[in-house]
Amino acid sequence: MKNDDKKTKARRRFLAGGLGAAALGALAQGSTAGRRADRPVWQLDPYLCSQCGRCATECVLKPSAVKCVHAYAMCGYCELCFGYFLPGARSLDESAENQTCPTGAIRRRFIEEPYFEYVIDEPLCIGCAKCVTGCNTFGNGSLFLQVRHDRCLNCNECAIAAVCPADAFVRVSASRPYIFKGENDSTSGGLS
Amino acid sequence: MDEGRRTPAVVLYRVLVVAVIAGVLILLAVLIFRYSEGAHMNPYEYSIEEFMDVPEELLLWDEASVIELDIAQPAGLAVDAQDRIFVAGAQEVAIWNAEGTAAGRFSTLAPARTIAIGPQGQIFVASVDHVNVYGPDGSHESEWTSLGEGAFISGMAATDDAVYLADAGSKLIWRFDTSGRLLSQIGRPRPSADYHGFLIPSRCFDVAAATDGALWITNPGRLRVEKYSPDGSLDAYWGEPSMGIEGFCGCCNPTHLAVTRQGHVVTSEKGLPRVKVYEPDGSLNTVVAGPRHFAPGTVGLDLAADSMGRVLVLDGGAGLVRIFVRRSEEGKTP
Ligand code: SF4
Ligand code: SF4
Ligand code: SF4
Repeated sequence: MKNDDKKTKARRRFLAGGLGAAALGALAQGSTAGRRADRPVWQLDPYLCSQCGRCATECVLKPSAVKCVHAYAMCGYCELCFGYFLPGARSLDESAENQTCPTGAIRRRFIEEPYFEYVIDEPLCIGCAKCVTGCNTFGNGSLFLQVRHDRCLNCNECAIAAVCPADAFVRVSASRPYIFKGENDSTSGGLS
Repeated sequence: MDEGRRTPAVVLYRVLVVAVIAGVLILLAVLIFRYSEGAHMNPYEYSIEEFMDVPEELLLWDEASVIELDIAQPAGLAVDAQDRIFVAGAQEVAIWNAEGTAAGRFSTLAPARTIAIGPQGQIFVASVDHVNVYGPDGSHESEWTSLGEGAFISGMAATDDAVYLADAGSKLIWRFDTSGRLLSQIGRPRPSADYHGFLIPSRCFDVAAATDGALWITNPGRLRVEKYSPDGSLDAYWGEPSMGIEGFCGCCNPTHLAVTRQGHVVTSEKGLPRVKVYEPDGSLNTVVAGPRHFAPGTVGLDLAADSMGRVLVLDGGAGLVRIFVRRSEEGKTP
């Protein structure tokens, strides 16, 4: 029964699409509670990010305040996700040696034939962007990095911004603290 | 005299000066190292280097020539019955003869995504959601109705009596007659019949028509190529997920396809940009070009095959149409 419930919920989420982004939006609201809405906070522009790995290594927090987020509305729910599987995966099962993520922070679950959902386990994510590169290279770019404001200290000088080779870090208003990848990209795959 | 000047204070002063200079130099070196892109080793690098090489014995095509494009945002490639080469871009269609000499150009009403040539020389140019038809001289003949909000036409094929539009937005093939009347759709899922239609994770969806009337259609989310009858029945499919040369890599490949006059299916991929030729039964025939032939990150390699057996590849990022010729038995380009 419980399993069925979970499956139904997952399916609803899948069919709703975009709920991941919506959840991020809700979290954005929560994170701004108690903050002055006009106060600038750090964010990274996912369209500029070149996935250099510094978001994982340079943040003053360990693990980093930068996390992978997933635009469910864009995702193809592919059986074979190269954000999830290593390019040379020997078999397409969920064992650690087949996974792109070095910390096992992406969970894969079957939704309905032939769709699979990929969920980021944020506490495990270190913001390394390896899955982001895989998704950008072989998929449609629905995995991307964001500074999560429920943990970011909003340092005066962000240690990542100081070294980001893509100049992807910007100051944004605390009332709109995330830069989403949106519906308009839903089928882009880098081809547009 | 000199000896007399070396008091402990002077020595200490000199040591301090040297130490400060050394400290500044070290600091500078650290800063340069830290901020220079080349010095940064990404411990989490996602590498596909080991899949970049193609077995030499399969690489049996040579890039015989290229056409340098002077057209904004080249997106679609087609050849006609005379082997003239058509490239459609943001504002115009440019035409070359088979030898690569410029043979004309005309402006289009909307930015093009893809192009196909009809049997009477009609030029079908598809934008995001609709088709404009031009005469052989480039004069505008008609504009078809929109496929609707959310449509994204990414591939097109024309036969004697039909035009097929691959719509990555609706995940359907739309079949029109050559005057723009909708005839049918191909690809509506029928889960009860265990038919799930086309899985299109990104804007990669293409259709090509063989001389025998069969339709070859990409099913990129399934990493396979499917063969349909014009009435929409699925006759065959093949393709397997693999980073190896015989399969299709990533989550959405192949991105484009074309059919040769001999019935071979030519495919292109993204992620590992490569162009391959398959037998109609899905066995790999040869590799036209491997990943090292293209710049990293190359996507959108539209394809065409002409009557001389050449394979044409639109490499929009490089601003080129690359024309490949199969090597002769002796290993030389004919
Ligand atoms: S430092 Fe900049 S380029 Fe590197 S992963 Fe972070 S945002 Fe992307
Ligand atoms: S691969 Fe890196 S960025 Fe992606 S989920 Fe894992 S830890 Fe996070
Ligand atoms: S502002 Fe500070 S805590 Fe936030 S991402 Fe930058 S370094 Fe990390």
